[in-house]
Amino acid sequence: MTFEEFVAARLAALMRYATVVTCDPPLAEDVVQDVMIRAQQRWDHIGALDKPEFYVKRMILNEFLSWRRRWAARVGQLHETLLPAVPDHAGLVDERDALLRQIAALPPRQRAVLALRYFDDRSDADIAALLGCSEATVRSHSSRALAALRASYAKEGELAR
Amino acid sequence: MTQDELIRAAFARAADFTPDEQAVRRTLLERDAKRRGRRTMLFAGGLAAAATGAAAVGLPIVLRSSRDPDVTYPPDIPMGDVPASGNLRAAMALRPTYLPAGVRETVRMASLGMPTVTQVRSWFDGDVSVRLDLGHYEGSGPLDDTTRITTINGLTAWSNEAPDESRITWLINPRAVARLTVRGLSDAAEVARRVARSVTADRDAAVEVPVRFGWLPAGIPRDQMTIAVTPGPSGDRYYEVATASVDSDTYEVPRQFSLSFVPKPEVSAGEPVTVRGRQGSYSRGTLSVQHTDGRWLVLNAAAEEPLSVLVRVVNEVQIGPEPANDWFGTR
Repeated sequence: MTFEEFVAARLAALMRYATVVTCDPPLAEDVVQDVMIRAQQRWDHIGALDKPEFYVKRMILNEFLSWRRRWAARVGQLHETLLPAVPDHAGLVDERDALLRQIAALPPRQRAVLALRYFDDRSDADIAALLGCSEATVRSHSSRALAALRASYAKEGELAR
Repeated sequence: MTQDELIRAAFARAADFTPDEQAVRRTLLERDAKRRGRRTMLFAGGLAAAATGAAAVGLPIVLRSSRDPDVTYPPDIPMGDVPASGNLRAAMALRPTYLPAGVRETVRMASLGMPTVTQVRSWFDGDVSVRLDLGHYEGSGPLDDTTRITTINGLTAWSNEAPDESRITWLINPRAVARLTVRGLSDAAEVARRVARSVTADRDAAVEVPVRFGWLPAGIPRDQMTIAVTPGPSGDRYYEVATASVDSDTYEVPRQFSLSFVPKPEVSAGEPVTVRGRQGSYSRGTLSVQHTDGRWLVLNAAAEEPLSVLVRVVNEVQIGPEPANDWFGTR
C-alpha cells in the first residue's frame, strides 16, 4: 500500500480515533497532521509492516501523551470546543454528553485506555502494545478511570437532587 | 443502559465532533509534492493573487518594504545550550511592544540544545490571552480552509480567524516562523494584527529555572532540554524542565522525564517512597517529594520506568538559587 492509498483509505478513521482519544477536535487535527507528516517520511518502513494502521495509531497515542502536548494543554493551547454544557431541548443535559465531559477530564492515559477499549474495541493485550505498558497497567488505568467516572456520576446525581 | 453501553455511546458522540480531514490531506499532498521536487501551486488562486508575480510558493516572499522602522527580527535564533552547572536559562528572542490592556505575562517556555528552536510567551487576563510562539519553519504555512494570506511588516503571513480568536503566522527569517494567537476578544483579529506588527527582537528577556537534572539514565540526552515557567492553579510560579523525547523506530512510548518544582503538587497521594531523605509519594509514573523550603519536586516519566530509576533521578536533582523572573505577572 502506498502512502497516498493509506491516506485515502484511513485518514478519516484516524481523525475520528484521535478525536475520541484526545476529546479535543483541534488538538486531534494537530496530532494527526504531525504524525502523518512523520509517517510520510518513514513510509518505506511503515508501509512494509504487517499492520501499518496499528503502527500509526501508536504514533498518534504517543504524540498525544507526550510531554510537549501535555505542556501545551496547560498553557491554554487547547480549545474547549467539545461539548459545551448546554441543556438540551428538554432542559436536561444529555447523559452521554455529561459522561463525555467526565471522560474528557480524566488523566490522558486513563482516557486513552477507555477510548481504545470502548471505541476501538481493543483487547487489553492490544492496548498494552499500543501504550507500551503491561496488561496489568492497562487494567489498573481502566479500573481507576471507571471508578472515577462512577464517583463523578454519583456526585453529579447528588448535585442534581 | 449499562455503564459500558453509556461509555460506548459517549465515545460515539465524541466522534461526531471529528474535524474535516481535508486540511490534513491537503498538507500531506503539498509536502509530498515538495518532496518529489515538483513545482506546485498551493492555494492556486489566493496565494498567487496575494503575492503578485511570486511563484515560489512556500518560500518567504517580501512583498514590499513596509516594515515598521522600530521592528527588527533576529537574522538567526541562537540556540542556547544546556550549561554544565547552575540554573538553566534561555534568552527569549521576540517580544511584542504592543499588548491589549490588562494582560500579564505568566508563561515562558524555551528549548535548549535542540536541533530547532521552540519558544513560547503568553499573557493572560481572565479569558483573554495573547500567545507568541517562535518555531522552526518547515516549508509551509498553516494551510486550511480558513487561512488567508496577508502580510506582517511586509513579510508573508498566514491568518486564521474565528469569532473570538485570531492567529497570525509569519516568517521572521528563512528558518524561523512566529505565530501570534489572540483569544477571548471580540476584536481579536484587529488586536492580533496590531500585536503581530509590534513583535520585534528582544535583547533582554529570558526564562530561568532553578532546577536541573543531576543523573539521568543512559540514552536520555543531557544536552537537550525544555524549560518553562508557568502559572499554577493559584497563580503561583511553577518551574518545569523536561528532557528531549527519545523516539524510537518502533514507536514505543518515548522515554522522557519532566520535572516540576511547584508550591503544591497536582498529584493525589500514592505509595510512600523514601527520596531525598524524606517521605515522598509515588503514583502512576509520578514521584513527588517536598523540598526543605516547602515546595515540591514532582518527576513524571512518560514511559514506564522502574521506581528505583525515578528515585535516583529525584535524589540527584540539583536546586539552585531562586531566579529573578520578575517578568512573571507583569506586562
